[in-house]
Amino acid sequence: MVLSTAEKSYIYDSLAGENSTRTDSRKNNEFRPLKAVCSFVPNCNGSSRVYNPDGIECITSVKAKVIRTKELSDLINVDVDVEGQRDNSTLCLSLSAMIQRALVNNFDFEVLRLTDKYYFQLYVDILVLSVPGDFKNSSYTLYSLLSLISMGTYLALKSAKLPLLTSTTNDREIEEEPSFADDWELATDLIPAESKFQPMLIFVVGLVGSNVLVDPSLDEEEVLESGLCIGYCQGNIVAPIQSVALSTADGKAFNRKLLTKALETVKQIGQPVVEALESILNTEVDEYGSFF
Amino acid sequence: MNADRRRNLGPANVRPLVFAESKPPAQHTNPKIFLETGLIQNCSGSSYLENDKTIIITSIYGPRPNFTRSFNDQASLKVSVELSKFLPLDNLKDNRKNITPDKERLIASLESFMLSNFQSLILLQNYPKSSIEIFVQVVALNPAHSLVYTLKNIINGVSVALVDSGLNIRSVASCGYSGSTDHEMAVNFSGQDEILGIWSDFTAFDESFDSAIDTCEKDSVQLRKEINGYLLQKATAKQ
Repeated sequence: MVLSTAEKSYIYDSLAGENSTRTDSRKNNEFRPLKAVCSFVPNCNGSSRVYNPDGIECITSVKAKVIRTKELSDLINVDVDVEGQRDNSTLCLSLSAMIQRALVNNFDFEVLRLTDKYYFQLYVDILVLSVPGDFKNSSYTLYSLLSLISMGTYLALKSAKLPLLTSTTNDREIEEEPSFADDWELATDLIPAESKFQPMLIFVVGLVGSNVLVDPSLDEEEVLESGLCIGYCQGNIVAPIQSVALSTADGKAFNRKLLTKALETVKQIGQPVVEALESILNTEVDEYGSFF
Repeated sequence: MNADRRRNLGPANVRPLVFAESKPPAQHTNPKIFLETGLIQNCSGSSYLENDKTIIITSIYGPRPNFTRSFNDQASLKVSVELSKFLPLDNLKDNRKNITPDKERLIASLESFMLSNFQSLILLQNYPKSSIEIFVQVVALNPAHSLVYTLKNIINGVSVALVDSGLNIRSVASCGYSGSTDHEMAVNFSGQDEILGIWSDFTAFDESFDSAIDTCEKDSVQLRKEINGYLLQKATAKQ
């Protein structure tokens, strides 16, 4: 929605005050309801579809390929595509770069190891659909999608299944190309349930006045003073902690107290979000029926 | 399926080719900077910043009329970064994990970070129906400089060019840097305890995080002093 100056100032005043009131009467640390499904794309290893109530949806697929490498950072490739945006637009490129950097820096590459020499290489493809039509005329940016995208990536990675390795895992002495079982019933999880490793999540928070707003909606973004994206992994704040432009409007500097407040908010909301995502993973999906 | 697949492979004892200099040089930082403003004539403001063999030229155009939208109640800001050909980009990677920098993605992340910084610094509301464009050109790069350190230099270059352009800004911003072997951080301050932007790759959020911000703030205060001194000297010399 394109907001007028008067509307913007009204929203700003109601958000920035001590008892802030958000446009959709949420609490400051509350998410909008999200819907999500996973493993619905038949021809990839893991997939997820997450959608916001404002219609924006994010489809993520994870595909795995066997490669022989020593360079662990090559093992994850991320590509973000936003509807209506060119592939080489700053938005797509910087979203891809940010997600890829965050994943590589917080990934346990042991789960991708096949043998001493072979690894699975992951291709994470992200497609953002139903971008609002007024995007070009409004002053919000789509960097807040980082949080939606990272949830999609989390679900897709956690739901990814890999074929069972039938050849030996020790090829230090004798070289052998890995071979796999044909039966998908035997497939193993990319991230086993007993594994300590969890994929990371990125939260986007907006700063306005002395308040920290979790999951800002598009009309709130237009009046925010600044935005931050903060990584979260297994109860801890992780890299990246980085400023992002959530609107093209005038912003303001923030102080360290607010930064600390933002980090603490993310630390608090992280666990409930992870639990919600886990419960989605645990609900059984009727593979094709319910969705199409 | 008992075929011997081993013959598809080369000898077992082959090793990948490794070049002697493929390791990035150890990072050291020389804080000395050389600054000059107003070298480019046809733009509203420009700066030339040299720090330890890294050369950054910034030019700022604007406010110019903006015809792209029906109505703008404030200026729209654009940032473009250009990395010259043949720059040694090996060290512009994340400092811990060796992520090969894709040049396009690198530029995009720099641009979007700078946009978030300078949107909060320039008083865009004072320029309705107009656009302001910032062009940054990294002409030379010290191979020892990391991405975050280069970012600091770029931001400082832009801040000085903004002063030169005479655009309305809140204050002279200066970006401080703090780095060690396992983390790096750049924080852009517009004044005491006023953060415009932060870029950090900390994995742990504890006292070291706070002390790193302190280091950045000290660095930024020192830099602001130098920048102010230079600008003052330049302003008085004109008269």
